[in-house]
Amino acid sequence: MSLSPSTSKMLSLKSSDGKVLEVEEHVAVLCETIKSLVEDGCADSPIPLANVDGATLGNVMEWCKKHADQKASADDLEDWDAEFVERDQGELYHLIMAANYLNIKGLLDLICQKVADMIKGKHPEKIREIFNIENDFTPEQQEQIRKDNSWAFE
Amino acid sequence: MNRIENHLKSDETGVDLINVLTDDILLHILSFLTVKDAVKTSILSRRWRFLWAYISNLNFDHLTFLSRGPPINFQYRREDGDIVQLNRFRFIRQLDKFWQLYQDPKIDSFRVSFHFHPTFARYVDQWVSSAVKMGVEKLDIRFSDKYFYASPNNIVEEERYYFPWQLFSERKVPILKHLCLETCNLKLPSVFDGFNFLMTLYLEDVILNEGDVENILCNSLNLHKWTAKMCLAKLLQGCWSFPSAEAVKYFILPH
Repeated sequence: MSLSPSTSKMLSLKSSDGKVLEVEEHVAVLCETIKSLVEDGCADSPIPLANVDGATLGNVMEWCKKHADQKASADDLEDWDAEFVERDQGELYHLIMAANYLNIKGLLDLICQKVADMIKGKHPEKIREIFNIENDFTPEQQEQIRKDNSWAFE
Repeated sequence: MNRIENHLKSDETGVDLINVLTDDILLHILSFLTVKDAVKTSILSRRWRFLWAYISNLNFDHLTFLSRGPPINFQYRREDGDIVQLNRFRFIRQLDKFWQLYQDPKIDSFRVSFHFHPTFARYVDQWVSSAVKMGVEKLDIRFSDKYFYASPNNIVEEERYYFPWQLFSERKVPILKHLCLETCNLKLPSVFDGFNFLMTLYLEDVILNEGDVENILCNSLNLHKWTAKMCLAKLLQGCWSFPSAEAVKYFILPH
């Protein structure tokens, strides 16, 4: 918000569903994938991002904008990030896929940490319920796994 | 609840979104968990069964391994010797079991922390040896009892873990970059060049041979930061404290 558009070149990014987003270059280059395009001089026309839908791209750029802001303190960013990851699972997964595709390590780590926190210390049955994971083991196989890794289930 | 489930069953396809994530990303998620929580995911489904065996950052801390985890500030009393002993045996057994089933060909880091006793030396040697064979770049061995007792003991030299430097001198391509030792003995031979790739070294409450420091500094050309805190180096006559009894000293070497 504080940076006027005239201070930074604008890039247009085109999402998989055809939406075009205008983003300041210094914000967009937080994505390593876009950064390489800019460095190679291939960022003139709208950059097609075939694996990211418009809504997710909007969220990703919101994160990049906050993290490109030089004035944001570490504490401020931490609080902001904590609020940013408060989303339903569908959005979290789309963000992971996008962060991976666009190669944004900070965002990928943030969302993966959030998903790990949802697993941490929980009973397997609860984890399956949260993530809708189908238990495709036979009771005998389950027994065997518990036996093999008994130390972890103690 | 319904909203989450609707999102999970992705739009029209009816596929669970977590199943679209690649193994690489699931492994990245597992790397944010303790080893114990990661191994517990093996029971979720076939896909998860062996994923944990490919995590590359291993952190084994006795305090996080106890089944009914102690409160954060939990500490044993010296009188609780039997419980300590029992828990320690369980920890060793659990770790040994892990190594038997673990199969990642490459480890980035290996950290182990528990209240060491010489009877466990051969186990620790095996773990370190496995980690080195798997190309570990960061080793973090913390054997102080200060994390377990309100009042730490001075563990005598004979009862400390001897860091197995032999593993590094035998290796043709030593790739250890970061070494962190606490309450161990690091007694190098007078000729030793096994730490060629070392970039950072942290020693706390470590007993060294007289020439060890010079030895490391001369042979580790990539070393740019090393820290010694309450370390002892034995001279032929008596001991000298290095660098000082209380202070933490950083020595940053110019390139």
